[in-house]
Amino acid sequence: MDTVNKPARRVDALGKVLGESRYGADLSFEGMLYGKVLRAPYPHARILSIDTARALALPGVEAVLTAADIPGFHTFGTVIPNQQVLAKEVARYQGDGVAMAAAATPALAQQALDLIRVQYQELAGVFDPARAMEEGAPLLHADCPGNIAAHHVLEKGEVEKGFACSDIILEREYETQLVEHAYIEPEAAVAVPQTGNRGVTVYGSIQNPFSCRKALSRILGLKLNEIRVIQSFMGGSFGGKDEVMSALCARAALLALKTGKPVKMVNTREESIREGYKRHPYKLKYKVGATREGKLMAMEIKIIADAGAYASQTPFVTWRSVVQATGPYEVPHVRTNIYGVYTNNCYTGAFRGFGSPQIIFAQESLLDELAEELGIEPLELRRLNGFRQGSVTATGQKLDNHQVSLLEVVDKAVEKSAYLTKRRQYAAQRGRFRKGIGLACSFRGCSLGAEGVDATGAMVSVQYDGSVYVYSGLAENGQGLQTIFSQIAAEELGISLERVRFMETDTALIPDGGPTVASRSTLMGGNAVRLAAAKVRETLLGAVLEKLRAAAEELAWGGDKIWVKADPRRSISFEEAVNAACAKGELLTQLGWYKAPKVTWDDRHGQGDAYFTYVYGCQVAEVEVDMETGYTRVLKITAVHDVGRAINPETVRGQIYGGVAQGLGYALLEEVQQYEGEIKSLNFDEYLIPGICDMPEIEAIIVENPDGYGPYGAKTIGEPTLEVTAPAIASAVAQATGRRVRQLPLDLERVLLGRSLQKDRYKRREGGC
Amino acid sequence: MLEFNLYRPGTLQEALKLLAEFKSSARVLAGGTDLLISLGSREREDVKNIIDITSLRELDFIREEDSRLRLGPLTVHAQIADSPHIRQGAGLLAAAAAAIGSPQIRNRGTIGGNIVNAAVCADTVPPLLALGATVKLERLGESRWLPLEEFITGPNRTGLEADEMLTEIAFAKLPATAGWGFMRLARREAMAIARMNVAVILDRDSRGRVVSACIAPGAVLASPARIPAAENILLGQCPDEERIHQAGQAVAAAMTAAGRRWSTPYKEPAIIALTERAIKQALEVEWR
Repeated sequence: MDTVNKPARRVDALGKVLGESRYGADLSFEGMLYGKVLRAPYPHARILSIDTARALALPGVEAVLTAADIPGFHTFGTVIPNQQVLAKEVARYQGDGVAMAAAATPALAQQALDLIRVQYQELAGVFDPARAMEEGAPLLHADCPGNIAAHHVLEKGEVEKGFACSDIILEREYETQLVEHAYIEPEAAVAVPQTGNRGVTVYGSIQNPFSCRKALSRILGLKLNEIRVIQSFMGGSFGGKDEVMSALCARAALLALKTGKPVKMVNTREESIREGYKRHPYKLKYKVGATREGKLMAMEIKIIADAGAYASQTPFVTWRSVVQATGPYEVPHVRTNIYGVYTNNCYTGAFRGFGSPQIIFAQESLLDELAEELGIEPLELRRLNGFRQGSVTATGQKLDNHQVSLLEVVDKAVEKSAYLTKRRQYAAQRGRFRKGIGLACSFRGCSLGAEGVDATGAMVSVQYDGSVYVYSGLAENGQGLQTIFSQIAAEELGISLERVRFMETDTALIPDGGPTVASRSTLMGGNAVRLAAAKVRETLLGAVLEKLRAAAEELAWGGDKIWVKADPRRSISFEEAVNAACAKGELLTQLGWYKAPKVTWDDRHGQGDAYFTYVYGCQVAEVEVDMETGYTRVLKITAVHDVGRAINPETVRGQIYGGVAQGLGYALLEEVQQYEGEIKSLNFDEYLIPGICDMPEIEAIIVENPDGYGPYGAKTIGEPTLEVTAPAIASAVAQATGRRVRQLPLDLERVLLGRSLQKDRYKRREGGC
Repeated sequence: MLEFNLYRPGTLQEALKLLAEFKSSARVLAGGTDLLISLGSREREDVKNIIDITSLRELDFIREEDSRLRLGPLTVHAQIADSPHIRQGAGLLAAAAAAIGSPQIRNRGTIGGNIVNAAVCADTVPPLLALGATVKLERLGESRWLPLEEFITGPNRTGLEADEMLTEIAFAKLPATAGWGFMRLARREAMAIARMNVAVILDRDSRGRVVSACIAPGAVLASPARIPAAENILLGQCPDEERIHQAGQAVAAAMTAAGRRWSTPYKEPAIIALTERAIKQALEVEWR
């Protein structure tokens, strides 16, 4: 291979480094207005009346709209469309928009909001999901008794029998926190009314242009072909610019269509954190049974996830959790129940990991605790129970269509980190600063699995001068998709990467290929690019064969030319091949469409072949804990991930570094402070993410076991990198301190005292540090 | 966004004139690392006039005179951290300045601003208290000097009158016999507000007995202050592990005596440890 499986400079790097790439907030159109949203001051309130007269009377204000002005539905959503673009009768969380204004300047728009008079009747709110499930709790959505947004069940074997056969039974409760994506670029969108046609074009920091278009169609009452969504450069997303961007784009479009002028809307950081969805906090109860030797016999799991005010991706997030909740281990008897529950908290949705970081923290902590009870090294417990070729998962899926590399990645991580030596070395420490080492591993289903339809497209278009366009329905969110897809197109056509130009994702130019989520881009989109390029190559082949007078199998492609293997002097350049094909009137533009292999799911029992392939990863964390202050420094992370095949080893490593950084924040620092529905940490002075000085050495190790389905064998890397970091760190901290913390994040208070004090802070209404 | 008039006086006299005119409707802009944030968040709607003194070079100096150090209020943290005069004569102040924020903030934020903003967790204030610093306050036509501990009156509160400006900070250099310690705890390595900090200066005689002691913690009381009860435990002693621990406990006791807050269960053990470490650092014994 010439281009694939080799490092390549990111095709989008130069413009970003030079500051030339245009992000949503950089866009400007003639006569453009600025929109601002008024949000609810209460987490749960009935809207009695909205008086916009004074705001409208302000000179320079061109429109003031409420839910009553929405031509289509005022709600949208992927699974359960109950999220409000603007609250109609009831505001269900403090991020809910109530009214909005468009004016000549952002300051005027803000001033207009100050003049809107809203009468509210405050309603009783519910902020604890367990309480929200109880009878008599305030109901958020009339059609959802018990506030249940999602409930998934998994039953394998006979769990009671499994416990009866166990020598040891352990019950533990774990808890994970509300986490903010913290992308560097807050949400931004510009909506421009189409001229000469009915409709609107929307630009912005949109993770999923097609999801956005679907929401806009429903809200604006327009046909899909009347809405064009074009993605701007993205300043990060991590799953976070889906529904919140659909809402922002819909609002900008409503204002644009009302005024007939372009309307720009940009969230401040405070608005972004207040309104944008977050990672689900989970409360997890695990009961595990095992033999004296450590063989897992049974697991019973009950999880409650806080969905917040709207469904968003809760049904899918919790579904991934139910599939993977027992981890990469053979457990003959399993019963899992997971509930996603509505509350008047900020809603929760997609965030890199998507229901896996929570359960992996619990299941990996649990395995450590079980090992300790049994007096077995945690690593041995994993080797004893970890998936092997042909293992059967909790959903009854036999893992035999790909290389099950769990133990390979674990062994590699153990070896590279000197885990066993250090584990012994750190076993008996005294003193103020103590070190610890811990590991965590995972398996992860690639792409959407049985969530739903899984297919995507890409277009490769060769121009008559030999330059190439690549279009894709999946979008660059910073992960490196443009580079990977360009490399695949170049490889397939035997040309240099410089010939390829990747076009921004535009819903008018390419079929809807689903969202850019679930670490599915390389696997799904990469296949679509490869198919498209292969079709073009097939067309070129016809012209080449005539020119070289050779059979197809005698030819070699590469380095911008095609030659006869046996006689390299008989060759033609890529341009010549293109010219020859064009002269024959051939079509050198092709669409590739890739449909995922079949998966199955029985919703009643939680059984089936949930995903068509899986990846495996293991990380080892080494930490030093200040025993007198609880301050924890991560000294090193060794991260080993099987990616099938690395299309670009450098971007794979980049994903690992980024995932570890985010995982480290999840482990030690990050927690959105929310008290009775009000978010207290609205900016990065209070919401702390790791900085460069907090980052340890990261040894990123790529393992390659090519997959039968992936392009060139490539699978997935985006999400696995983040999901195992926190449990590895928690395990290392437990070794260092001799105490296990069962709640994330392991901040100063939890490490020193075993509990957080933040709730007290807000209950007592005290500020300060 | 707040609207205000921006003035850029060319001399200190002009600045004082503007202050005399605008009084409480004015704020002085030095580094802006605190002021600009509060302006953006609509907390300061009473502010109508901003007096930008960033170009007043006459307020930007570090001078050593007769074993005293004199600092202009516009001296930024990076200068303090790097100054040979301060590193040699007041090392704990250099250490505190070096721990603030990030390079960007240390290049903008001023010592005058850190004092006048009077945050409970201000990093330069405990070292300055331990050094016995005094501050010069000027209004048009007159000036006065105040000990720093009298100047800071509470969280974000000072004795600065509306028409006054802080124009100098002065203190004696540490004698060669003195040792110092500065400890700081935050939630991450950089760009993090101190949860607590503590400055210690100990001077000992030739037999190792403590002849003077200053222990000044920050973010422990309503504003940074010296803790005489802790200092007295060390005075006249050759401090051993037990004494050092008692001094730490005395700081914690001063904190809890002032009231128990949400954070007290954590801060109580942590401030004992930080104080012990700062004392050990001052005594030049291993604290890790």
